[in-house]
Amino acid sequence: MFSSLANPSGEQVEITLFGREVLVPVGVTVAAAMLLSGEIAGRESLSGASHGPFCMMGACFECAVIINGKTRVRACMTEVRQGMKVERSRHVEHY
Amino acid sequence: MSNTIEDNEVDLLIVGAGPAGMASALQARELGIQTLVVDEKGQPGGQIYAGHHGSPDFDRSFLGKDYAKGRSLIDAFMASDCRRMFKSLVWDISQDGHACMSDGSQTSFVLARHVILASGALERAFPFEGWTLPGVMTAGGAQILLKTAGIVPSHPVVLAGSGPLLLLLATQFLACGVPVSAVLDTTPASNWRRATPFLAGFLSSRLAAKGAAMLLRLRASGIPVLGRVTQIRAIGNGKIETVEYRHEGQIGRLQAETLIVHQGIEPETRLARVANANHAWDARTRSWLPACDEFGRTSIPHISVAGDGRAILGADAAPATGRIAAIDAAFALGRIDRDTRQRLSDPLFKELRRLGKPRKFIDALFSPFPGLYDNLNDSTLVCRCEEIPAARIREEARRSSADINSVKSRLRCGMGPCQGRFCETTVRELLLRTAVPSCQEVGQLRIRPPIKPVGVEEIISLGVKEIPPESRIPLEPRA
Repeated sequence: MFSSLANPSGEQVEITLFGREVLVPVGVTVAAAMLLSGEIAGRESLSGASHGPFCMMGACFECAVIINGKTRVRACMTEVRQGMKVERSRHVEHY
Repeated sequence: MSNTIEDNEVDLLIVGAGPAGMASALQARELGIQTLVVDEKGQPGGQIYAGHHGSPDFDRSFLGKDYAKGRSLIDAFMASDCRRMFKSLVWDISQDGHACMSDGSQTSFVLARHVILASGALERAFPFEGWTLPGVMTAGGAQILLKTAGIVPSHPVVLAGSGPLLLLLATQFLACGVPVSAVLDTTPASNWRRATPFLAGFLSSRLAAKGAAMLLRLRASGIPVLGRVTQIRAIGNGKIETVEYRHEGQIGRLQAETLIVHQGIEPETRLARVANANHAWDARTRSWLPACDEFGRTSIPHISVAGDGRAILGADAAPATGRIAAIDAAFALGRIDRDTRQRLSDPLFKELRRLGKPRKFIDALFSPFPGLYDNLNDSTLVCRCEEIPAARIREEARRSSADINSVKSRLRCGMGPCQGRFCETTVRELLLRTAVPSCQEVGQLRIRPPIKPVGVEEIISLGVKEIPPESRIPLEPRA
């Protein structure tokens, strides 16, 4: 698990992460929100293996998820927004 | 909505708002040059100073003095009157200075009279069995998470690999109470032998004192720091559960939900490559670097490189290379004469020479070493995107060609969404070891625009504004 050093009473937003509603700090990325919510994988590779956030700087595309219906969005480069819907992605959806 | 080149002309386009890009912009504005800075992220600072403008508020003082000093550079940059575009990806640059940039849904063009590429560095891939399992993360990634969001592992973590960043992260984890089970240092004895001749230049530097202080702090904390570790494996079902390693002839195992890996950093040169600038093999760091003069000017007269994207010199040297490139840009644009360029650059060159002294030692100590690739078992995935194992690359090298672009065409390694960022070095090293060609024969991945995936609907909407492909076709004769 991951935890936050930030003030626990700080402002939060609610997002739908892989089908469940979670509260996460304002201003963090979707990848950070995933880790904080115990979700370390959001993508299924070509062979069906689980992959998750790896480089956190937008280079590896391992954290690609579907955000508000848009495919192959890098979770590490996207800031959370109130009401955002984040779904798991599969390799085939990249093409 | 303006999408025409005519409306978007600038004297100087700087790609990247890290320390090199920010210092470049400040210098350019001091010389009165109209400047546009574009960065893919939402905030300035690059990776090294990420989080200074971060939203979740927490006490960042434990990150250390070197991180804190980025603040003043960021503040000066944000106060300057250069144009800034964040969350914008420059995905193509042509030799005549046309750049395409995407805001994630729409691409616009800019025509720059001079371009400074300050794209920074990437983590060098560290392939081993199980490195694609969720829970395995780069040290750079863990640090970005820490700096930007204050998010840290709450369970015991293992750190494995080689390089100063691994030690720095371990001490930062220590400072904020993250339980660290062990640091598994994979730096081999052979690298220590290669580095020893440069020890004198290192010992007198501030980096040596910093390194020693970090090691002392780790030792004092009781965290085991194991040296000359080999054969790292991540084991688990759908996520990492156990880290296995070999140390002093014994196999060791540690339970871990998170394994932080690091094997040094290498320049991100994709924009220089997409523009078809020449690159040269650097034997010391075993990497291709953009060929440039002392000012950072590449083989394309109006494209310069600065910061770690030129050569890995670190955050302290990045502003100096950025400023030098901006001074040279002013000269290229006809704003200052040759003597002024020299006069303004001389103190910066002097600073660079001082900062460069410890570099030889660090480069030799942390360069990619043979064992990393020789011990790679055949089933280990080299290309994460297309899931290509080491065996396929070795087979390709033996059977047909050791040219990295031929291997890419046949195996697809380098064609996935990361576009070779996390496989190119490993593929190159495997080819060099299997077929024993020269580095020139292996070559570099030819980079095509867009340098990162851009939506096809976005490309279609560009209409006729596409840059003619002729301007990018490599001119070197093919054997």
